[in-house]
Amino acid sequence: MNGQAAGKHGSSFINIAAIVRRELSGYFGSPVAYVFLVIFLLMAGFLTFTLGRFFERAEASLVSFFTWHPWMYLFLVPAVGMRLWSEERRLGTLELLLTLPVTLPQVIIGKFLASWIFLAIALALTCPVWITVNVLGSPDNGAILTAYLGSLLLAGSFLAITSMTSAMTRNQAVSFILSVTLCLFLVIAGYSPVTDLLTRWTSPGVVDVVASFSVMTHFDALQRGVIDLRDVAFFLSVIGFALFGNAVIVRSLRAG
Amino acid sequence: MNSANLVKRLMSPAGLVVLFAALVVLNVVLSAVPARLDLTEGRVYTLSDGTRQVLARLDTPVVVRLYYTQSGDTSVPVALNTFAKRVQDLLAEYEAASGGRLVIERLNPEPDSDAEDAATRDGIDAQVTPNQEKFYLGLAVMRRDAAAAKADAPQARGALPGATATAAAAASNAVASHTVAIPVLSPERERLLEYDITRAISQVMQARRPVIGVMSAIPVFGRPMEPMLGRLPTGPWIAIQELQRNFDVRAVPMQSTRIPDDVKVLLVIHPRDLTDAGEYAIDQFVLRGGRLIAFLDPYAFFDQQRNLENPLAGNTASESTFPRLLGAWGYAMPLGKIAGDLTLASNQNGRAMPTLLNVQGDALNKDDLVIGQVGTLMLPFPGWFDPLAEGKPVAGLTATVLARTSPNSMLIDPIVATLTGDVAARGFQPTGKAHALALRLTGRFPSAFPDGPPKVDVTAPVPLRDGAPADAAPVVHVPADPAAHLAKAANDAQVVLVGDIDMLADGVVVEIQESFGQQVRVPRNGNLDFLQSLVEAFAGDSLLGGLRSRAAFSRPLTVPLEIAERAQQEYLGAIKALEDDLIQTQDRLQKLQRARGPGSTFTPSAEQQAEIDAFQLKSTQTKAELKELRRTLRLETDRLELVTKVVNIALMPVLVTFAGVGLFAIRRRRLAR
Repeated sequence: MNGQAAGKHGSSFINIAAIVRRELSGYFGSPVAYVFLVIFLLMAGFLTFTLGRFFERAEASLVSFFTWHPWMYLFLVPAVGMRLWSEERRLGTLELLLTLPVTLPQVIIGKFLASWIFLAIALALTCPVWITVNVLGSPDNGAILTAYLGSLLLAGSFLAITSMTSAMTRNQAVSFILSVTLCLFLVIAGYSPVTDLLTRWTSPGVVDVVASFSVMTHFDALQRGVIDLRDVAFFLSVIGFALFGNAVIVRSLRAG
Repeated sequence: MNSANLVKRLMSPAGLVVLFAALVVLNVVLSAVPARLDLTEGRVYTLSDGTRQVLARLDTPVVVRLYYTQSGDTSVPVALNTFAKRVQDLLAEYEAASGGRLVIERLNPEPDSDAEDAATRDGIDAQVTPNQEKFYLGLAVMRRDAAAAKADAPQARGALPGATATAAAAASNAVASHTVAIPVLSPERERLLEYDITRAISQVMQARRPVIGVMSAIPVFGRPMEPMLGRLPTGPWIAIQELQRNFDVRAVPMQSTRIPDDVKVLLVIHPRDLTDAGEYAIDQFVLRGGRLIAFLDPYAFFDQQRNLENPLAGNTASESTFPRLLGAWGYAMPLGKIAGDLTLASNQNGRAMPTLLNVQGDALNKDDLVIGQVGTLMLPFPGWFDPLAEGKPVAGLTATVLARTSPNSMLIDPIVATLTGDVAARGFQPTGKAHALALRLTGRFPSAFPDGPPKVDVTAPVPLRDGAPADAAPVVHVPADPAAHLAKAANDAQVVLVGDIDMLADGVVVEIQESFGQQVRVPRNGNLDFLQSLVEAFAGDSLLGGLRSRAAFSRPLTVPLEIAERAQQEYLGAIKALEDDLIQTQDRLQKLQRARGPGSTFTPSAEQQAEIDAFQLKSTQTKAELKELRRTLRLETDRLELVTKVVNIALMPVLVTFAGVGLFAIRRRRLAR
């Protein structure tokens, strides 16, 4: 494949960094990014203090904040990621991109990382709520830290899936809907009202297995304050699998 | 093999399926690997050193049977099931850390199964789900040889080598194998889970349980019905029950002239009317190198007695002290007065109560192994200990203050002891020094009876006040043997003195909560912890002491609470005054108007009418003022909430918008150039 010479392992980091920079400056050059950030922050704040009943619970913890993340990410992350590959396909810049001295995996990882960093920035901008809860009481900051990690991994998982679906189609809307659907399945497989319902039909063992495929189970586990290898491995597996799928799809696009 | 070909093969839908399978396998394999980083405060989800040490000490294999009903009953709350999963996780950690000496057996007691029979045999309690099904979540710990013996002879229950001891069993000295059960594992007690499990394991390993002697003028072991005295039966104090789970707790009569030799730790709780004989027995016990924990009190609210000086005055709180021992050790506890502290005052319905101390933070000695683990202590109407000379005890003893008042404290007269709020703060004259509420003395103790045993008439009647322990064992009415008298200490001893006994009363230590039809005792504060840790530390299994207080009680939002409290202190007094005023005014108004009732010929004079009008006006004004004050009460809290919401919801979005607009403005300018 052309570009092997420059795209060797040694400079793959540099290549990926370059791609990340390109994508990020693309993000922040457009008003869409700011609009997204504002919406995300407004929603997070609003949900925490009204529906989340932060003051009514009178607890020094961010449970009322983190409990909304899976549902917010469900719609907001596909919105961020839907244009990752669809745009390139639509504009026809995909081929151009791949003639540059970079390998396909590097592009995939670079694009993914850029969006993930963007989401990380959005998450970091919620720090006022962490500061607030420390001013108003004495929370378990270790648990909050792991919850943030869980949130970041969750966002990454949804993002990877969106990246994959956006490579499947030129149409951003289709990518969005596909991604939301897939992510929805991952969420509700472990959502308590659903698991309670499932136990009527099958044995608890089966329900456990199904729930272990859900992001909710692992996200909730990370909120306790313990970083368990199982949970981290789960999220990384989802990301790895989705990005691999992404590569398979793009490859088949080029071949076909 | 052509590398490009390989890549092509892998990067295909088939490759995707292979990857999926590989990832699933990976995740399954990893789920068996216990690798985690516990970042919680206090590392609540990690096995502590104490547990690891107990596990390291296991010399015979131990079996832990977890009974958990998984029958698919959907009415079981999900929270309970997730808790059960966490229990299993923790037990897996135990198994891993024990190097094979501890084995976990998991049983599923579904209705009418063998597992259910085993559960009942092992002492696990059945709970009832909303669907009226039986639900078990508990565990039983036993030694492997005992488990095997049980399996071989399931029918001969009575002939089993070890009695099945449930948590509240009376002091049984069953030697060697016996089963220790935790009948119900409850999410409310989750943070004490590690302690409960390790304690059960430790108990199973002990051949004999240490003997704790309890000497008390209060019926802490419970009291049967006494119709002649018109008294209902009472049960043993919860503090004693909790001690009975770990130790062989025995009553030692107040008049004993010698503490039995097999008592390892002597717990004295409110030795009201302590006789010379009793005090001598304690003195000699300490000199023999014993370990004493004494709870004394100048004002025992939970032990109201007839006032002998003034029998017509009704019952008043009694007092207890060591008349000679304290002085011999270099301390004095002022009697007839209560320690009051404005800084440590607790909050009763929005008013500060200086005689009910909420001891926490700096007031507790964080360096002490026992008290450093305790979160807060609640001391109702305590006394304090003052050193007689220059802040030090007698030579040969080292004193460590475990809990102390703030400098904002003073001794308060019992008459005004129950006052709260502004009234209590008025006239408060702090001593400006901190005083010891609890202290530990170690070293060689001097005797308080240097001339030998006191002359005691063992036939003299005991003072006639109630409270003789229910199960008063045969009193050791043997005159003390002068030959056995110790004039000075044979060994080093340890004594802990605490200036309050109300802190051990049932209502103060726990709150009873309902959890699926089971009553669960939830500690209100660190009092029970403190007692247990002390006894454990003295009884020798110090490992358990370190495990207990890793529980953090709830983490409330303190700032809103403080604001509300402050507002209440300021305004509640004023509101109450206005309310009283209003009631009086309305009263008088009613009286006047009643005089003008139907059929009455009373016609008010101009003056009286003016008075009525004035009262009505006042009534309206007062009501308006009250409304205003009540609104002010919540003002600061509302303001806090509003500011918080604005900052958290709007601040960042506004900043981001400005950043965005700013960046665009800069870029526009750059392009324009």
